[in-house]
Amino acid sequence: MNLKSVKLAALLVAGGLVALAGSMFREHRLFQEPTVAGPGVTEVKKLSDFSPVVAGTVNDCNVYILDSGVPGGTAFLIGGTHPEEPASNLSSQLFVENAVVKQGRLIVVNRANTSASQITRNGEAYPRFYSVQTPWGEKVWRMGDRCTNALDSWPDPEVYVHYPSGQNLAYMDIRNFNRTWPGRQDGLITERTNFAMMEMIRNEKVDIVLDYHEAELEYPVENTIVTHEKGQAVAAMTSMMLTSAVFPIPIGMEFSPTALHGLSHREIGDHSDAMSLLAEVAEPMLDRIRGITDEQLLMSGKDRFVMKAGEHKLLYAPIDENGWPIDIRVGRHVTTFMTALDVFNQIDPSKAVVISGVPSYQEMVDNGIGAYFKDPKSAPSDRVFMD
Amino acid sequence: MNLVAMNNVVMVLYYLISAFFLIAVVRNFVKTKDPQEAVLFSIVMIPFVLRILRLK
Repeated sequence: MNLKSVKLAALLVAGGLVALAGSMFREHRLFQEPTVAGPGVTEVKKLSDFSPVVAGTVNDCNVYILDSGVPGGTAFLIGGTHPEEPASNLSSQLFVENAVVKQGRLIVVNRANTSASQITRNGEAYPRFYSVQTPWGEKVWRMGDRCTNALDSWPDPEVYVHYPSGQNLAYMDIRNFNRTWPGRQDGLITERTNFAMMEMIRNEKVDIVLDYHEAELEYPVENTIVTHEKGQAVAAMTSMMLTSAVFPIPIGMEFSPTALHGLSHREIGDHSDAMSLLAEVAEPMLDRIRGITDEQLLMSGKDRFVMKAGEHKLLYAPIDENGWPIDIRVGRHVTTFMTALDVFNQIDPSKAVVISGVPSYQEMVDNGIGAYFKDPKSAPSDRVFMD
Repeated sequence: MNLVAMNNVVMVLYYLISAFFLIAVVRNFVKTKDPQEAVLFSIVMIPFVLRILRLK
């Protein structure tokens, strides 16, 4: 084979790889996730309706409003802060598709940082998509990263100086939606998204906020509710009720550190009238010591390397051969919010947010969460929204 | 100049740098007489092309 032929063949192979990889990246980035607005959804707005600083950007996400029309409080549920934590956006979407609000209002976002859901973490070989079996077929979501897509926010600074505290944080945290609260009006896209949400929280007079997360079992903040001082009674009582009567594995409660800035449980409470809570559940795929990183691990939470670490008492959460399936993770998140609202409603009944139509923890574990997602093809087109 | 404008300027420079290195690699690819180097240069081009096309 002469040199010219080798060069031509090499170019063709490289071009083929660019086309193949490029089409896969593009397919992932542009994939649309349908959400069926359930019977309780009274209005769907865009985040830019609350603040124009995100207008025209990828992070101008849908904001689902479930208004009972009965005076009460307002709760805000944040899904998709870190899109590599699927129990977060699955839990919030489950509320959008099923919840009916009897008193007060519920506001939900499924993809708080849409940009981060359009790329997976570099070098980690994440699956591009994950799916849940439903009675009507397979429902698919984008797997994402922890941070905003570098195509939407680049470059990162050498050191990220958090606004307004001035605290120095790691450079990539300027793209981490849970290090950029309360946001900055003229900041980069992630900071502007937080700012827009803070504007919504302040203007809509939100009373209670819950931010859904998942965490690796090697991380000490695990299976817990992290709370601002304002939420201590709600978080403590919720933790006790769920641990004593619902969850086989306890859920703890801890305070938001006052000196660590940028996190939702700290900054939302500090910069608005709302009490801010954050819920964590175990996701073995996030552990450094995991094995093959595929959809099976993501959804089943089964990994023999993480289990081995557990046998040596190196983890902050228990794990056995049953793993941490997505049904349990979402079940815990959904039930945590429902219980927190029950407690919140008792503290100040005039600001109650009463929700029905949401499955119980045991129902989600027994039936699988797929039973509670609606078929977008059989829903009226004006009730289907793309996240 | 605010933070967003500064970031945009640096981002444009970053794309120009990517284009510069891609041109350099293509030039080396054309000039080389070594088949192994030709294969190597064609592989090196891939991430630069993906970045310039804003695919990754």
